[in-house]
Amino acid sequence: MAGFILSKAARAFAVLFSTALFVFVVLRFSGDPAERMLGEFATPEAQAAFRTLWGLDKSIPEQFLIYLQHALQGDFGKSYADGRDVFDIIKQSIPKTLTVSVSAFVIAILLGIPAGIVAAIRRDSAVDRLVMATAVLGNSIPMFLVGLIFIFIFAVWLRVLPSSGSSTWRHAILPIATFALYNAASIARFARATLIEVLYQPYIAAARGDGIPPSEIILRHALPNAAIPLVTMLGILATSLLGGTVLVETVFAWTGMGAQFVRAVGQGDLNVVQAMILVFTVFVVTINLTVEILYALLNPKIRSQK
Amino acid sequence: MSAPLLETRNLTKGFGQKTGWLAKPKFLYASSSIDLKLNSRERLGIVGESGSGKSTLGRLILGLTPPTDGEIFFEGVNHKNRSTRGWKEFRVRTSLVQQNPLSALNPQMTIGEQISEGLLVHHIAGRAVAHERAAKMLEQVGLPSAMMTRYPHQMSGGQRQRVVIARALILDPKLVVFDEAVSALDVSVQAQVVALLRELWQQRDLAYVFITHDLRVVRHVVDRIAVMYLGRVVETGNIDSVYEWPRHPYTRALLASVPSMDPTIRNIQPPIKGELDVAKIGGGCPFRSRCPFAIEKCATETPVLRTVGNQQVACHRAEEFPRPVQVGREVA
Repeated sequence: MAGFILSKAARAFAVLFSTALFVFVVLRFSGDPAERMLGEFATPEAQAAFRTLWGLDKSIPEQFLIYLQHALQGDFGKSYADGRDVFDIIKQSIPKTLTVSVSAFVIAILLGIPAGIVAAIRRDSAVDRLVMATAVLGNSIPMFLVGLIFIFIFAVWLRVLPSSGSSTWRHAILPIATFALYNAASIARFARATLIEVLYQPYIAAARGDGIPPSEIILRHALPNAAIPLVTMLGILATSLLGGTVLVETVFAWTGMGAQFVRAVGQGDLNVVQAMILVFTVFVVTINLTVEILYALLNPKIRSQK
Repeated sequence: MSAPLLETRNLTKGFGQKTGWLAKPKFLYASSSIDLKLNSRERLGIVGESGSGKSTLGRLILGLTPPTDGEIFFEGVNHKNRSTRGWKEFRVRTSLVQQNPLSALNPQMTIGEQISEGLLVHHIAGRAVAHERAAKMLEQVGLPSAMMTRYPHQMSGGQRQRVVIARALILDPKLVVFDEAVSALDVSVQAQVVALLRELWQQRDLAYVFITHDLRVVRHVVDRIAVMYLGRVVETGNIDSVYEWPRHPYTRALLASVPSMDPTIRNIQPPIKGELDVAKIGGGCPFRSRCPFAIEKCATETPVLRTVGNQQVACHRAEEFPRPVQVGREVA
């Protein structure tokens, strides 16, 4: 198992390095930051001074080596826009983003999986129809619209929660609820479909034929087998969490990474963009690593190959 | 005479098929008015082609699917009158062996866990005893007890089917339903598993319901046979007498279609064409559209099982068909 994790970790590091290189090069070919930062009427002298200031006049390999050297020491440069340390910007915005995305994800799992299981077990019942109708609705209404509806109900109409901002925990409730609802809907639908498929397997019929009690059939036979596809799905969903927060953060003026990222891309603030993409990559790589380790724990077929 | 182990009376299972929105569902009968009797230690073969309703019959007998009509008695008790406790007892005394042993085993549990599970959930044995009995059972089906810790994917198809059989027999049932239990196995492995089934039957107080489409295999396993066509039993009787002198045109066609290694054996009748069309049954004999001997009466009057020779046949013209010269012997 240790060797397995080690080899996966080595691969994760390779992914991180190649992403950093790729992003670095592509960003330098996609528009001149000097022009975007200073505006189209800036004098050539001002632009040249800007490039010298940020080292953009050097060759790309040279720039990358310098960047790498600094990055390995934890220095990701400064924002072109306001000269703030990129590390500080990220350090400030990460907790905000993680608060919304991780709590929304946990709530979505806690809501979605039991709802999906109940719907699958009581298939075609009123409960099933209610759960599925809610899930389809939650999935098909765009997230920003759900956000606006929540703002209307809880901030404008009932006046119990703030509509936007990120200063107190009460500000977090609506963004989390919006994001959780959407994810819970996807999880519930997938959990139901997976469990129904497993319940049709011959080993379930065999267990019923042997008189294994229904609760035991669900817990010992069906759920462990439904867990493998479910973990895959949750992994994919988790990697899309950060992307999803961009939308939610915009609607609720939540100053997390999503909002910062959108601003930095628009302004050509290369240092910020690079560092944030690296953070996203670390996030995705970590999730994939977690999923693979979970696989190995859940599936005896993979476990025994180690 | 004591009550039979298993009896079905007028057993019928229909599946509703909706033809349109708000349309009244059309019923297709997978089993239609089936009357069967099975004594203790008796082995009954149920044969028929795909769609003949033989698997449905197996699931009905085990109470895994409810009948549309009719009754099932096991040890004299009607399924309909079984309490929760009664069902538990029934589940202990019966078992199911399915076609594909890989999907019939839980991929997440070890062989030992799966075999001993029944003993544990029915509180027949504690952990240690259950483990010991499972190991013994595994040896009885011809596998080393060291395989207890394996997972299904670490075994061959034949070994897996032995595990499924071990799991089916661990509670010492009186009746085991085999649903195409050897059909997915290689021919050489089939022979081994069939030999195992004969051996186990000799050692135990066991009755078999052996559902298959394989006419060669069934002869080595059962005492009595019921041939099904479109949810009905069209011929039933002692296995040897049916193979020696099949009376129903469908049985005759089935037996004639068994591939032969001997070129001197020629078919007693032309092979039947087409497939089962479940949706097209009206009145009359269900086989008449494919029967080369169909007469007018076959379209108007549904034949019922009646005694002809040594067996029971549902055919108006059953007496007219001669005893085939070679076919019975060849099939053995």
